[in-house]
Amino acid sequence: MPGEIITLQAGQCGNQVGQQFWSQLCGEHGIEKDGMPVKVEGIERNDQPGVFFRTNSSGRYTPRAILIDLEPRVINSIKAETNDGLFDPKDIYVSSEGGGAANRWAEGYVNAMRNKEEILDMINREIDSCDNFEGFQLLHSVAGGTGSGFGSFLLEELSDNYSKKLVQTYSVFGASEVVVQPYNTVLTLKRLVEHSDANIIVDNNSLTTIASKNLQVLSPSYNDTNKLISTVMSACTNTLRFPSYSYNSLTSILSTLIPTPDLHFLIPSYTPFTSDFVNAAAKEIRGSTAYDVILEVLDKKLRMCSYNEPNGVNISVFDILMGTEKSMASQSESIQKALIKARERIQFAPWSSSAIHVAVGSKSPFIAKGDTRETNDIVSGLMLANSTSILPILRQVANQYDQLMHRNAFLNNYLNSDYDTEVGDIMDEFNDSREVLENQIAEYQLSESINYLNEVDEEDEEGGKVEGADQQEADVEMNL
Amino acid sequence: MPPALQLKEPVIDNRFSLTARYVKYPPSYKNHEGYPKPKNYPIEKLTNLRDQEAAIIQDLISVLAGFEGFYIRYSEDFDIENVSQRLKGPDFLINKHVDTSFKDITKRVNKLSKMCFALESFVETNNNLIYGRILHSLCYEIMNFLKEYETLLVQIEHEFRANPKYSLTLLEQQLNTGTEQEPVSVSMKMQSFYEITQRINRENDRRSSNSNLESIRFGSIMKSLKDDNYTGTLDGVTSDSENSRFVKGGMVLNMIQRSIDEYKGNLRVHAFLVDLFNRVSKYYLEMLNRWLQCGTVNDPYGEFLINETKSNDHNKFDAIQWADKFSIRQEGLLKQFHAREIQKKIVLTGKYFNVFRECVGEFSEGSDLSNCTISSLQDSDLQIRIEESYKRANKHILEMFFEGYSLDNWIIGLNKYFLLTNGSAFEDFLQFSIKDLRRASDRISLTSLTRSYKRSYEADDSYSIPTVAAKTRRLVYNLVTPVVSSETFVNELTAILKAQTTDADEVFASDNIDSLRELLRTTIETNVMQIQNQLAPPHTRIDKYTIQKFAIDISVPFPLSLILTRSQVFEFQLVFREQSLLRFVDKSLSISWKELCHQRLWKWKYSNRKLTRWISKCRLLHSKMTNFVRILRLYLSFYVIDVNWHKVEEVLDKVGKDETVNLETVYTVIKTFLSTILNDSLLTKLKLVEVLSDIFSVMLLFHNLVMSLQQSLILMDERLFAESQEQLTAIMPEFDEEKNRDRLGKMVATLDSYASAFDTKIGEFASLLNYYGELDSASLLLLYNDLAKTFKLEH
Repeated sequence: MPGEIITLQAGQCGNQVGQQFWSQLCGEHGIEKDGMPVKVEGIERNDQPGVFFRTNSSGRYTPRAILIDLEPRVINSIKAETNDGLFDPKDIYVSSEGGGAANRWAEGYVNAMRNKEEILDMINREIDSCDNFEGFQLLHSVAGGTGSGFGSFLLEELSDNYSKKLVQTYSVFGASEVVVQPYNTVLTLKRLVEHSDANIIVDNNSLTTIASKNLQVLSPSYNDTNKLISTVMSACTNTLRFPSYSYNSLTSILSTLIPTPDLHFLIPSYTPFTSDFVNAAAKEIRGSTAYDVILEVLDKKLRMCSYNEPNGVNISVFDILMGTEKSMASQSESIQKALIKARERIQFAPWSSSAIHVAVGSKSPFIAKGDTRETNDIVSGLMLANSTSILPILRQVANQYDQLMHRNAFLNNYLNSDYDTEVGDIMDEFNDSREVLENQIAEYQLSESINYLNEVDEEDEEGGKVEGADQQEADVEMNL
Repeated sequence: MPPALQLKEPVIDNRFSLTARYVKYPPSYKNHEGYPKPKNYPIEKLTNLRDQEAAIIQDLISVLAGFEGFYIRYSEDFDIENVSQRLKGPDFLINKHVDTSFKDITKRVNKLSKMCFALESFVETNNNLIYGRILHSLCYEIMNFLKEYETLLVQIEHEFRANPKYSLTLLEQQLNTGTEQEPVSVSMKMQSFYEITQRINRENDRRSSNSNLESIRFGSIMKSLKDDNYTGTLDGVTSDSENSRFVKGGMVLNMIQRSIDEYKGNLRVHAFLVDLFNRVSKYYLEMLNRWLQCGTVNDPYGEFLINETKSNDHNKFDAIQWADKFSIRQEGLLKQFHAREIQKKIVLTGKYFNVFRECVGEFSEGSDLSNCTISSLQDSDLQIRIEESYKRANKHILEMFFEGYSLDNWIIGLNKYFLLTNGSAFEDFLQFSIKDLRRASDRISLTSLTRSYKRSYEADDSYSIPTVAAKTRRLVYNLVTPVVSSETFVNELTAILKAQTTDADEVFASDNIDSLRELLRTTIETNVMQIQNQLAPPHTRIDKYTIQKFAIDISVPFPLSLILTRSQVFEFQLVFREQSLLRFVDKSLSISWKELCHQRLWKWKYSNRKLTRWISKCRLLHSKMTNFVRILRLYLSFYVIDVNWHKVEEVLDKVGKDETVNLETVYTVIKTFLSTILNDSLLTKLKLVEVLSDIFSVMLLFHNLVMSLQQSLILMDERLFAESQEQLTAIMPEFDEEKNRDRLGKMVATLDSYASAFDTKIGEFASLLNYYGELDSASLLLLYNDLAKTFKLEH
């Protein structure tokens, strides 16, 4: 079994996105919404549901997921929708107080800390059911209280307790109705920067605009935008779940995208949204080839965060193309052509290799089956870019934070929480986090220059210069 | 007009029949063995010409039957005891006193006597089944003719006695004119038979001498070397260059065929000869039909077009044995079968049925035979019928391979295991066994590697619904076994690619068997010598890694082994070894990525700016390497394997639906697939592979460096050192600024040397790709362009 991934979903947003994600995965792997396998004849399975699901002897699939919330509403509705069958009740954590985190980071954080043992037990139990556990993915929003606060604590604990395992997050930025979201975001960002390996960043404003342009809805609900996120998640994990030639592990994907741990924010762009992912809401697609996809995902109007902001400099670019196996093989030439053009359009960081990596994934046979021939020929694709296009959203967060902090607005909620008594000075935490954010912004800015990662200074020239480093020396093994 | 031959049933006592001589030769004039020489009234004394004519006719009646007369005798040179003279027939001398007016006509008539004698002798010598059924049939035909001839002679004698007006002229007319029933005259038939038999005699003479036979044999070996388009076990035609000591089978038919061709202008004789051919070829035709309809060879005398090499039971499922089990007998090849295409179709048709019978059992003949039955080798629709038989055989064999043995799923299975189309299982295997694969190959246990290999693929094919495809894949799973080969991947390729082939021109320039033998021997010897010298000894620890020698093998069961032959499995293996090495490197890089970008020690904020910069450089080099590996993988897996496989699939989809897709097409398409991916995977260009292997080595050395630094890193930072000392119980060296400067210097030097080696090798690799791409393998340019753009290597 290839590297299993355990999903942690925290807070209202995290659980709602998770709900979409799991229903998408169930569809793609032929699993009923209560976890029982669909009986279909004539489908050649080549999938690996085991990456995300465990099975028991009766064939029932259970997501390797831990659901966390501080109030029962969302989780109850998930239970209702899945006939209480899909998720393992032992994997569900709802705070006994049940009042929620009131959109306060500190509330979430403290609650998590108090219930640390219980949560870690749940995680350990899930890990026990894995053969070759590879990493975690956290679904959360950074704006509210639970996702950000509880999530932050989780990130710290994960990197502490499971230091050898990868941690990837899907972090949703921005929610207009929460006034203190800049506080929450900045505090969470510190953990994203320091305690995770990769973060796929989406922001609600971008998602809403994309949804209203690409789906047949005028004013998209969270339900619609969450579908966009789950589509991205499904695409991201496509090569893990439908293994073909390469990118069969989370490590292989992340190592392609992240050349240095200092830069690990990833921006997704996806096109086209077809009905097999976002069902009836999708607009009609008049055919889409690999060529179209590779070029279209470069459009800044498809970027799921920093929508329509000027293009930044790219550190790495990774395309996942999905179509039926046969249609992909016949499109090799169009992929080549598109890559040549794309390479001209993308601005790469001067120090990095200008590589556009491509993974050729395949659509689920369960979904492709029911569809008409035409939709089967449609190629969809996701681009993940590690680029300085992330800067506008980071700067925006920093600005909003500074404005609030400047006026000391709404700080009472934080100062008078249990955080101070149980953890430490919240103001220190604020300042520290703000500094981490500033450094991160600086790091990304610096990455646009040629000397990033490869700076040479005079001292270095004299000290470490190796003369005539030829093949012979390359074969020398170092002995320290 | 002479009177028509209208006789009652001829009264012939078989004991004295011309065709059945059981007594010694009668004494001849020359060799009378003590008996008095037979004498008759001297002809010159017969002054009445009419009397002389009568005497001559009287004489001729026995002379025409091949005996000596009184006035017409065997020539002095003729030795009746000498077989070859007998087969040629005696020359006759006519008494010089015969009146000139009769001499000419007698001479003309007398030609038949010689022929008759020769034919009798021919039948006598050859009418034996050891010379084969075809020659036997010819003898039978000659005998029948001789009987007919004998009847005519009886009739002549009768007329001579009864018809007072009978004359030599009438006699000649009678011999030279056909009838309505038999439009070809007796003398003409005699002539034709005589020509055919003389050809056979001459050829037999030629073959009786040893040196001649040797040169005939050499000639046919050379011809088969030039002509054979033998490539695998189930396609192509091998020819059998054995030569027989005597004329038989197809050769006999060929001699008749030559007469047919020579008499094309003479419709009557032509028709007679064609008829003769058809009758003589009856057995041959029967064998041909049996062969084309069910692939059986019933040819005890080795006369047929197809030669079957008998095999014993224990190797009957050995694919190699099937390669030349059936071959075309070049000797006596009929002109109808001269075209290679026809030969191929004939051989394959029967071969397919044989395979079919071996696997499915006896073949129910069914009703679809009408189009496949040949009624005469002289018919103009011969080719069409062969074509029909070929199609029929293809239909059955394709059905067997695809529906019975699930050939398509087999290939998919092989793709999965050898070309790693499902990367995750192999990724798994690497995950479990990377430690073993990094050990020296003589220090690992193949058993545990095998266990872990099998475990990685275990789950993969077991949970699916039991469809045919899944069952086939399971079978492939069970048959695949990991092996550790004796040579590293690069050495193995060197051995193959550097192997010298025998120069074709030299082969064809040799003029006898011995020089050919010598030539082949020297080539083999030089090969063994040279290859030993060229194999590189292990250079670094990397070259000793087990992964360098790791391979998987499968013995494909019969009859699939006829299509998926050993050599194809070998090609699959080569691609596998390249792929597995590449994935091993990739996996190693993934592990060191985690070290560089995830591990706490590497993410530590070091106070030493130089060290921080060094770490950054490591990451940069690592990212370059990762980019290279990923680009190479995409190229090999998608552009080479996937895209070309797609072309195969298109053809396989047509099997059973499109009549033009026959087994040969299937075979060819698989072969082309493999040779294309071998070529496009760089495996036919030794230099490229060598440079690639160097690149891999640099990457693995770099990986080793990264993985070995944890302790050094702790020692390099005072704060980290202090912090770790509390946690670690192991004895650590002291924190030492001085030593650290040295250490860092070393680290910088090593990293720089790796980085520069990597850059040099990448440049070299790219320019080789460009060179070969421009030269002959356009698809390499694709990889070149990608690499050149990525690493900004524009020339």
